[in-house]
Amino acid sequence: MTTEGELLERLGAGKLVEGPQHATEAYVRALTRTLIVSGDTELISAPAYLRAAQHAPSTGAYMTVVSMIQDEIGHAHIAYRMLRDLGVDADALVYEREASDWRYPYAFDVPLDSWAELVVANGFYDRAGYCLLGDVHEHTSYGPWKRALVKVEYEENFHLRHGERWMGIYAADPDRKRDLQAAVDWMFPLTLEWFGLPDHLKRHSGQLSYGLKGRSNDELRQRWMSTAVPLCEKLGLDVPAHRDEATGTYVIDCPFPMAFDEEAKRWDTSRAVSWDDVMVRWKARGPANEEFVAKVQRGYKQLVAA
Amino acid sequence: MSAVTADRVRAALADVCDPELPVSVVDLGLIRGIDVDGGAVTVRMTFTSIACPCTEVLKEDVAAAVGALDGVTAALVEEVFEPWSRADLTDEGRLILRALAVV
Amino acid sequence: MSDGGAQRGLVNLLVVLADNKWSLGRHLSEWAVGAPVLETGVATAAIAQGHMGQARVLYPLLEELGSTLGSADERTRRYQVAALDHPFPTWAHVVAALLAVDGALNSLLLSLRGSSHEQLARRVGRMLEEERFQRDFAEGRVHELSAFPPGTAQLQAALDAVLPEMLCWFGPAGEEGVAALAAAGLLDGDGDRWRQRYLDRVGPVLLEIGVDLPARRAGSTWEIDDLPWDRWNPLQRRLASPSPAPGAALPTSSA
Repeated sequence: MTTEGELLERLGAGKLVEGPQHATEAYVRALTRTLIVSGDTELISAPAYLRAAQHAPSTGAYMTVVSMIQDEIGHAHIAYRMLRDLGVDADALVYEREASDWRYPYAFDVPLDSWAELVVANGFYDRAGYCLLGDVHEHTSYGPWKRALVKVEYEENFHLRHGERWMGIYAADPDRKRDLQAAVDWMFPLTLEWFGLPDHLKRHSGQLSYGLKGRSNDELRQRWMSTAVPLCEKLGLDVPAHRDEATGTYVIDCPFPMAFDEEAKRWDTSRAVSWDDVMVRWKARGPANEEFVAKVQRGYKQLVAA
Repeated sequence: MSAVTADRVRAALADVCDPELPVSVVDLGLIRGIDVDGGAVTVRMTFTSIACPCTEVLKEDVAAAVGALDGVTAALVEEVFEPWSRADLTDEGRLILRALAVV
Repeated sequence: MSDGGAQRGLVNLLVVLADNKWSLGRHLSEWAVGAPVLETGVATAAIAQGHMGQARVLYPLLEELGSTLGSADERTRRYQVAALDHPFPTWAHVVAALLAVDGALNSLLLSLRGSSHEQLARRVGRMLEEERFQRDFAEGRVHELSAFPPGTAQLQAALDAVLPEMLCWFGPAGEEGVAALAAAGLLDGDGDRWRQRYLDRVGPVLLEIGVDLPARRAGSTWEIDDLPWDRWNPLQRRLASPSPAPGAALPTSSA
């Protein structure tokens, strides 16, 4: 471990942190928190996508999802391996932690129940992951993570291309386009939430000051919209956001945040809620949280916790 | 209308890339033969592995690229199940994959 | 091919191989999530794609041979062993299938490698590119499982249901259809020889971790216990149900 002054000097000189020897306890705490969110998000996407893959239109399409699941578990493994190197008991984290203690975006707690929903998840959620990880890759001060992300980004890009390809196929057919629009309707605002509290409400977490990420929540939300909105417009899909030509930024055209009925997968556009209300929903976790965590942990528990 | 030739077909295929890698099906060494019969084209191809999840997408992309050529009336892709190894990469393909640390 | 009987026999055999590979891949993929070690989950997803890919190689050939059955995802009935009827209820069932079911499928594929049917031989050659990897993976999982205290007992329970069926799967001694295929040069071997080769393949790793087999070594061959031929369905190449219900109780005591 080093002192806060030495650490900040190191970061100021643009040098990377290669391990705890270059860091302070506070830095390791902030890094640990960030890596847990990243690992949990990658890992929980696997049961979420596997469930949706049961609706795949062909064996080839199913195999493509299995290959994405393979990527996602691999990415999760990278994050947990780095946690292990920081002294965290990664096995306990993955296989013994209570479902409600997992730290991935709430969106994955709402189950994907059709092929349309799966490909929108690829187009929206994997794009969100790509924005976040792209930012980490560009800006992170933690060397091992920066290097690991080259492959991760490449694969995430493939997932979101998969989403775009299938969204295009569905948009070309009037019946399937209705299903696609229905999926977009509930998944678009949920992905807006993915990036977290707006900047003016965000508590200081050390992520920015320690250079663990470069862009703020609102900047990342903008970045996501800057490709997701044009994609939807090109496919003739309605989304509650548009580009303001004067400022060049994206404007959200629905109450944000908004009340969400998670069982019906429906937003109540007439009702704005507070971010405190959203935090309560996130903390309570959503409908598939226990199912997905149990899926991840079942093999281990049959052998260890039995 | 220009005549359809194997060279023109091959040139068109140089723009069809593996969805997971920025390498064309030609540079990957997947194209095993091009038959031209008037406007009807049959492309014979193999894949890097039978476990490759991209086979359907690649077949569609190849058929679409060939079908879009001036003078082509029918484009068919036939999978030949021949073995594939790194030796089948072109120099260009090897260069790109090496840069990505894949081979 | 002049012999219509041999051709029909070949189609049946290939449907069975393709459907078993397809279902095996499908059920394995469901355990990419839930493997007891994350790295193993990654590899399970890769292995599952390999099995589905192997099935994908065979279905178009079946069509060329005149079969109208189509591929497994177009049918409700699949010609697979009872061990693959349901999702695997435990990780031990996954490991049992990797070793014992796939070991049998690949054993038979090896006997088609030199087939006189040139198209088939070529495709089998491609399918077998995965074989060494699949075999090493299965044996690695047996060792990984046996390192968990209840692992060996759970594997034993899973294998008790699977091994007799897979030993039957090679067919009774002197099966006519197989003899016709061999006479036509389409494959190499017969039920008894395949059974011996299969036990050479799966027996040693299981004996090493202390699993009981329905067979024992007698010199250079295996002496096999009585097999449940009364439940054997030669047309569907499987044991009649009752197949074990998913979620069967786990033996958990550490030996």
